Amino acid sequence: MTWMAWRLQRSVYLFVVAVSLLLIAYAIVNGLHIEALRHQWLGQPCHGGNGFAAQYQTRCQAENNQYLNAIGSGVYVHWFAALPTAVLGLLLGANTVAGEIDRNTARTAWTQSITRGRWFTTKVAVGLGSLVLLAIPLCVTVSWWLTASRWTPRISTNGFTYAGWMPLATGVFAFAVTVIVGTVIRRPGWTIAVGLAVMVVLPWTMQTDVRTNLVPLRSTTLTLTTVTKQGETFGTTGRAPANAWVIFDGIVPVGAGNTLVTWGQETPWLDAVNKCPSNVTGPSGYAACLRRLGLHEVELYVADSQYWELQLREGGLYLAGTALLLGAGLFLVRRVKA
Amino acid sequence: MTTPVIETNGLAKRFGRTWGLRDCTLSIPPGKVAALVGPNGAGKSTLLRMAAGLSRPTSGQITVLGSVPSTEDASLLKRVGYLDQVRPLYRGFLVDEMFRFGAGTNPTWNMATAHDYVDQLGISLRDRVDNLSGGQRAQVALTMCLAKQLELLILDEPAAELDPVAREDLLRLLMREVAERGTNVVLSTHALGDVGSICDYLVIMSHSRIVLADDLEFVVESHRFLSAASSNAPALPEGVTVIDTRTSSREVTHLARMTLPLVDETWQVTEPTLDEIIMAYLRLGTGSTLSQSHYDAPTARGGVS
Repeated sequence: MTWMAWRLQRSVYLFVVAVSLLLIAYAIVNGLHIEALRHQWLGQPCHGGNGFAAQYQTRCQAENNQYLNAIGSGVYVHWFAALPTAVLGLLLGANTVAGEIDRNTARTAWTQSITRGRWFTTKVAVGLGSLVLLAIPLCVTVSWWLTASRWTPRISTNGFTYAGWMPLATGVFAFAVTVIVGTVIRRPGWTIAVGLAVMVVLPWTMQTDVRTNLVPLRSTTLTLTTVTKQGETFGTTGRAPANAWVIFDGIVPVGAGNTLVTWGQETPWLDAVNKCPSNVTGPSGYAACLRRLGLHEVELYVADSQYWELQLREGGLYLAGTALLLGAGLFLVRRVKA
Repeated sequence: MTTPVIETNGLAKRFGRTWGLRDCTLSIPPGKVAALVGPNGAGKSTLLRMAAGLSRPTSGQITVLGSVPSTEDASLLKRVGYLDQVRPLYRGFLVDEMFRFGAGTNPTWNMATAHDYVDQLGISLRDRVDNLSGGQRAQVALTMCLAKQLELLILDEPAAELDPVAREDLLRLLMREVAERGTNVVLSTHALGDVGSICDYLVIMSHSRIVLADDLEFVVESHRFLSAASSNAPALPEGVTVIDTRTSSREVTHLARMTLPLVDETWQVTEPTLDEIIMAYLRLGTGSTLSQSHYDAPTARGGVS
């Protein structure tokens, strides 16, 4: 039965593997190219733009352009793990039950000498196993590319969703979604359409509404400083560490803790700050006004050091959802008619 | 072995508002090749799919070889083979790969038997299922069933849409299996000729109900045409159930089921062919010539509702 499950998905799987190998090759070449250009830009004689001799003006401008263009050419590489695994997950999941019912081959499979439970678990195991085998090198490649290219911090929204083990987790979740949807609606085309909709809406919701609740947020209080060059604008110190994912930057009451505030909550505090005297001309006057109001400006963030903790928790949610859906699939497939 | 191969009691299956099968009480004895005959939509496939465990009854009970069909009862699945009317094989597979699938999912699979059958039919193991003709596909699907070394073979219109040669080959393969292994067979068919040539038990279905189920020999023996002049046709005696009546200006002819020989010599008695008996029951099901009381009349044997 294991061979059978593999045979049924072989052509789709090998096609996606072939495409993935091309993507991996492109990502590696692109990542190495960006890395080389960055070293060139940071090294002699341009020093990353921090002071170079006038005679190197043209050369450094060209090196900088090359470096930025290379980063621009790799902007799609962050999709290279999440997209193939999600697509493969949707396709394999839709084929697991709906494909067999649609082609009537379920009538052949379900009248052999194995139980439907065993048939289902074998197909699911082979589908998931092959999905994981594909996802691992893709996840490693994209995670490496993010580090090499420094296109975005790994904890940022784009970095986090598309690297680490998130593509693997979302891929197996996509598989489970189309398995259960396919068991109910029995048509692979519609199953993929529904699965696609779920895989757009759910990760988006996870990214915008759930992720910030999965790890304790950290905060830092911003201190205003005068920018000496202009004399009349403000600068700040005490910002979140480099590569942190800053979720909130605003005015909150002192002692409010590290919980995110809503726009509605923040409005009266901002109104109060706006009542500070209009002739506040320096950071100390502004800070004194904030102190009087019992407010301060903070940044709430997830630190880079919390990356794997967040990966485990969000990925764990997807895996728990996968287990739940596949359990429901096992229950339903025993009852569905062919 | 006396356990019926298929036994149902008040079996019914509803699809939305439509009944696919209702009030089905039936007992097909072992050691038979049983034919289910009836028009499209009569409930034959519905009954066979429930017997194969592919769908569940809305109400009533069904047992197959003494066990309730279940998706989780591997021991029963092992003893029963099912050939669907669309002969669903995996497109893109080689014949050899179909057999590998069979071997991997059936512990009693006999690969030598499978190879032997397709070899005799001139089908290569390297042939792709997509490239097989309809007849060859049916042969491969039937071979998939036979190589399981099963006790009961359920065939849903196995010879439908086959050319005469393919049909002959398929039926020959089937009869060889029955002769060599004594496999029980329950098949549905529209080909009345097949019923007389390969079956020894008859189930006639119409309008989602069973209207007759009995040994073929007894069916033929218990039915007669009774003819008399229209002007002086006497009343029919007790024990005679009229299945179909044809009247002309001069003569009335009943096809009747009789439990005892007719002694009234006013009636001219002739023996109908099997086709005539089956057609009369199928017309009965459509209500074209008979009243409802005939429709519900019990058969002499076989426990049919």
